[in-house]
This record gives sequence, C-alpha cells and structure tokens, in this order.
Amino acid sequence: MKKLLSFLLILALLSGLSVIAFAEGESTGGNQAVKAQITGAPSWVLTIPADQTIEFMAEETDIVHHACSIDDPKHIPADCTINASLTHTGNFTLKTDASKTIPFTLNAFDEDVPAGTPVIASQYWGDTRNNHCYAEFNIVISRDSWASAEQGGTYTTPVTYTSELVDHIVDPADGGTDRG
Amino acid sequence: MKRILCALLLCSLLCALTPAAFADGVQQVSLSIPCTVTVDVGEHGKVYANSTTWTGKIVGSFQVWPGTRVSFLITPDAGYVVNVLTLSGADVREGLRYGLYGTVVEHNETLVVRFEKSSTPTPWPTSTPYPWTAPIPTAPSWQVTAPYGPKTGDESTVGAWAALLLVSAAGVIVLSQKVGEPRTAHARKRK
Repeated sequence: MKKLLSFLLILALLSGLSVIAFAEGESTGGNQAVKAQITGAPSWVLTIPADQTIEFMAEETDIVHHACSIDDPKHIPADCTINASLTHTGNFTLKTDASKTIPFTLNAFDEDVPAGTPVIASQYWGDTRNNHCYAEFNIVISRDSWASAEQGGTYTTPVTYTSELVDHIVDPADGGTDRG
Repeated sequence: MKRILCALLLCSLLCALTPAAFADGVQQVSLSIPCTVTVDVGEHGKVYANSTTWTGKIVGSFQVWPGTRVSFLITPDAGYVVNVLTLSGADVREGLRYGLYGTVVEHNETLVVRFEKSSTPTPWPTSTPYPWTAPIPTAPSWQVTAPYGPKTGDESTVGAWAALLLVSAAGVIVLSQKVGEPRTAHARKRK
C-alpha cells in the first residue's frame, strides 16, 4: 500500500511540475530575455533592458529606451493582455554601505512614478497582435541629490520588471498610464 | 517519511495550481561617485601617492573613481620606521611590503601613517624610492678601513715608486757584492 501511495505521489509531483510556469533569463544582444511558459498554454518572452550605468552628474537618463518588449507570444487568448510592468525603489544604494543612498525619481511621460508602484512598460494585446512598448522612462537625479552624496563609491538600484497575463484589455488610448 | 511525502504532495499541488504565467527580470542601474582618499602623515617621513608627495606632518587628499587601485609609497626618514599604518581605522601594517602599500578604493578612505625612531640602526632605507626620477637617498657607507697595509683602490703612486726604488737599490747592492767574490772553489784555492 505504501509503495502504491509513493508511486501516486511521485506521479502527482511530476504532473504538478510539468505545468508550472517558469521564468528563465538569457542575455540577447545586450538586453535580457525572461521567458514565461505554461505547457500548452499562453507563453511569451519578456525582454528587459540591459544593466546600465549612469554618467556622473547626469540629471536625466533614459533607462528603458524601447528595450522592454513582449516577444514570441503563443496561445494568447483574444480577450487577454500581457502587461509588463516596472517597479523602482527610489534610491541608489552604496554597494559597500547600504545606509548611504542617493535619491532619484523615475519619470514616465513627464509624470513622476512613485517608488514601489508598478507602472506598465510594455503591453501585448491578444486580439490585435500589437506589441506596444512605452519608451520614455527616465531616471532623474537632481544636482542637489548628486551633491548630497557624502560617500564616494558605486551606487546601484534594481529596476524590477514583471509581466503577467490578465484577462482584460487596457485601452491603448490610455497611453500606458494604467498602473494596475 | 510520511511527513516528507505529504510535504511533497502539498508542494506539487500548489505548483499545479499556479494560476497564470509570469516572467520577472531585474535591470541593475548603477552610478559612480568619486572617492576621496585622505592621507594623514606624521613627522619624520613621507608618503607618495597619486603623483603627490606628502612630507612631514600634513593631511592631504585626492579623488579617484571607485575600483581604482592606489599605491602608497611610505618612506621614513633615516633612523625612523613606520609605527602606525591604518586605512579607515583598520591596521594594515601587514600589507606594507618594501615601503609600498596598495589597496583598491571602493569608498572614501583615510590612510594614517606615523613614524617612530628606530631602536636598531637601519643600514638601508626601508623602501625603494618612487618615482624613479626622484633623487635616490644615499646608502650609508660600509667602507672598511684596515689598520695597516695598502688600501684597495689607492691611487697614490709615490709609495709604490719609493718601494720599487728601495727594492732596486737592495738588488744592486747584493749583486755588486756577489761580483767581487770568486765563482768556484777552485778559483778560491788559486786565490
């Protein structure tokens, strides 16, 4: 009985694993690609911008620059949309001392994107087969912020990109300002 | 065993119930701020770094980009040695080799160097001077003076000539005496 139970459990485990959505990253031409796939279900490749270095004292730097896209979509239902969102932390952190930070704002279409709030960077509409990428995302560091850096060193900040399949279509006329 | 199996079953069920596909990625954005390196030098020595020499009791600074390797050449005055060598508070004397200390600067750093009088005489300077165009400190003379006899490298020829003259004179005297004597025993008998 135990053997049978174990066999059934293993089968259940294998079957469960076979339908897991997975994400994997690979570098293609300077950008990074993250693939989401459900076997026999909707799948796509999320391409995100490559890591980037901001020039010293630059007040405004485009960090996305048409590089965020949803590619190779498969089995996307007509009434579904793939949303790719980005989230930022609002602070650069010194590598050697996390307590030292430089604040910045993320600017999208002349609007400040609050830290911690996802904003849509790219969308794919299943019905129109239209892959729309919102290109204008600028990191803005004021002169005062640059000057406030009391500690020299390398500062970094993660910009997290998330894509998901949703069962509604965001009107393209919104201009991508939909943040949900 | 049952617990493990149950846990595996639960995991498999949870995975199978994952409602939608998703994909995440992280883009790292970075920037660099120049690092300030402060050099605090005590009396009786000097520190050379970043094309600058700090001599005597002085505090100076320079800036480098993070990730830059900076070398400090520390030269105590004659008769002095490095007593204190700290980098941002940490004792780094063990990293001192032939008067040279190097580090990769990742954030602001302060190098403190102090010198003290050496308890034992140092025949050679503790470091090789750099840059190479700088005047090379003269090493203490190790010339050994013998209490008597000729000295190696003596360029005076008067003594040599006098010695040669004396030897020649002695030779002439000896030879002249021998010339006056009969050469063989037969000659001596006839005489």
